[in-house]
Amino acid sequence: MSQLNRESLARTLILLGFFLLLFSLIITDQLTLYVHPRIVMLIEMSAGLLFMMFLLQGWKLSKTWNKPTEECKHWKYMPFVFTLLVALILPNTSLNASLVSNKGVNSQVTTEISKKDYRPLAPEMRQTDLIKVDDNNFVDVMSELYRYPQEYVGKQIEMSGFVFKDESTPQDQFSLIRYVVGCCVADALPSGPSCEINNATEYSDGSWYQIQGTIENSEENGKAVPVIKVTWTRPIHEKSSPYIFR
Amino acid sequence: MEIFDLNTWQVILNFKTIFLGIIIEALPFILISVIVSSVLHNFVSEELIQRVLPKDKMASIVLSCLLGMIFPACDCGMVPIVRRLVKKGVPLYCAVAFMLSAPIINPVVATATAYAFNSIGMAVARLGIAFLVAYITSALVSEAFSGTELKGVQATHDHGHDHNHDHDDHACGCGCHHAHTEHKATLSEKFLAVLEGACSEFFEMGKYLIIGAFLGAVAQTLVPRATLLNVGHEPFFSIIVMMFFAFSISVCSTADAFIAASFNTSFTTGALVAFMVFGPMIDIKNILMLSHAFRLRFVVFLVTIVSLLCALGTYVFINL
Repeated sequence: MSQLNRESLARTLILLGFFLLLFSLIITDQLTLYVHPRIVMLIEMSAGLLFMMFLLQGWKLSKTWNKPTEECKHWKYMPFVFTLLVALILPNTSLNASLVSNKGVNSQVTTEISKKDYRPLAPEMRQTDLIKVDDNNFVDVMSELYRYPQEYVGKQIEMSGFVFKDESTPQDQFSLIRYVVGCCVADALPSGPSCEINNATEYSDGSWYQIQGTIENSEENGKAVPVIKVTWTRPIHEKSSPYIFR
Repeated sequence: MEIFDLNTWQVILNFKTIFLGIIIEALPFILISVIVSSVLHNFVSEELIQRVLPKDKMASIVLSCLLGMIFPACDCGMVPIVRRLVKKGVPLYCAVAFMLSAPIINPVVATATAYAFNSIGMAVARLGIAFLVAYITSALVSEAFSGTELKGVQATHDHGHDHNHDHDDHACGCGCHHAHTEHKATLSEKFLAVLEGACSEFFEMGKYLIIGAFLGAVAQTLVPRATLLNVGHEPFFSIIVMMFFAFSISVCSTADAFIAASFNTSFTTGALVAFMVFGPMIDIKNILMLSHAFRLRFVVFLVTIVSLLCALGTYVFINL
């Protein structure tokens, strides 16, 4: 049995593997679990490029099928194989609740950040009695609520997210969180208000709900923060695109 | 026991998402950079570079620092290009200036920074300090090193393809005008050569991207922020901690503006600027790639100087 050109074979297979990985993510529309929508086009072009590289490598392989390489340095391909295995074996999911305590809730929405008075939704929010939060206005609405909580006391709000509680959360509260992604999933930051409801303990970490409630004022570390007194909840399925992309 | 398993499983899933997320995000930039490097190898001659670079050392350093404005680059893709430039005869100090500044001093990153902090001042501070660090490091490199500091003769070992393209005497049969380049047989052959070179370099450099992504994902999923926050308000120590954090999480220079912004209330401004300047210059991915391409003494020198300048620069500037 003559020696196989293992190195060339390894390269061909790895390139094919990466191409298939990207291709499958694109086809099943799961790419946004990992990256921001605006670079999806770039990823698609990369997939095309990888395919061309695969063809080239495969063509080279077919010509040197039985020529063994001088030194089989297998170890340098390990990282690639590892990546493909991780991609294959573990299911594609979105970031779950357990990362929230690592990253810290609402760490991005503070009064110190903005010097400019950037309040695009303020007029609209002041006028309406029911603030409906969706993926497009989530960041701005949260920003308004956290910077000027007093202005919205008494208003109704409707929003969805997943439940999160940690040791410091009071018994009758939980946070309703969405992951906000600026550029890459690696920088996703959890954001969302505290919600108050009598049977908060029945709501488990990571489960998704749509809620309606009244905005009230509360204090945390000497700062005024909004709290939603929940009037109505409904369990929902996790959305196929669970992140909020800026 | 059961809860422990569920939580571990969740951590593993998060790890996978961040790990793959970093890799998929960086993939286009690595591919672009190995292609650019391969194109430079096949199409751009040393003469062209000599002609374009200004003769005066200071001027060439400044130019290299500002080149990122027209060639924005992600720091994941820098090392292949920089190595290629040095091989092509670009002075080491110019390549260093470009490598340190291009991931930061470009319109994309400037915008992202201003947007993440809602403040033009932060963007200016970041770019300004990055320029200073890049300029001074580059000037010091020009004094300390006279050679290319490239590691060994790699032509035959790692690259499967490295033909010598210098001054081929064949006439160009296709009739196209390659005024400054060597003449090769056909354009399609050159195209294949570029692709092949990119392929080899992809495998060479890609593994460091993966290792860096792995370590970055580990840092993100396992290190609780609480430990970072303990030092957040100390004027100097916060800078050091943030630089260390920037080093260990492997995110690109547009993303780190948002990560830095998330620490706005817990860390000093100096620490945040240091994070955003140091991270794109030196992190795990870069160090691995650099030590693969350049000699150890150069890498140690570079890392030491950049770290010192970054720390001191931000401390002095912010506390002025």
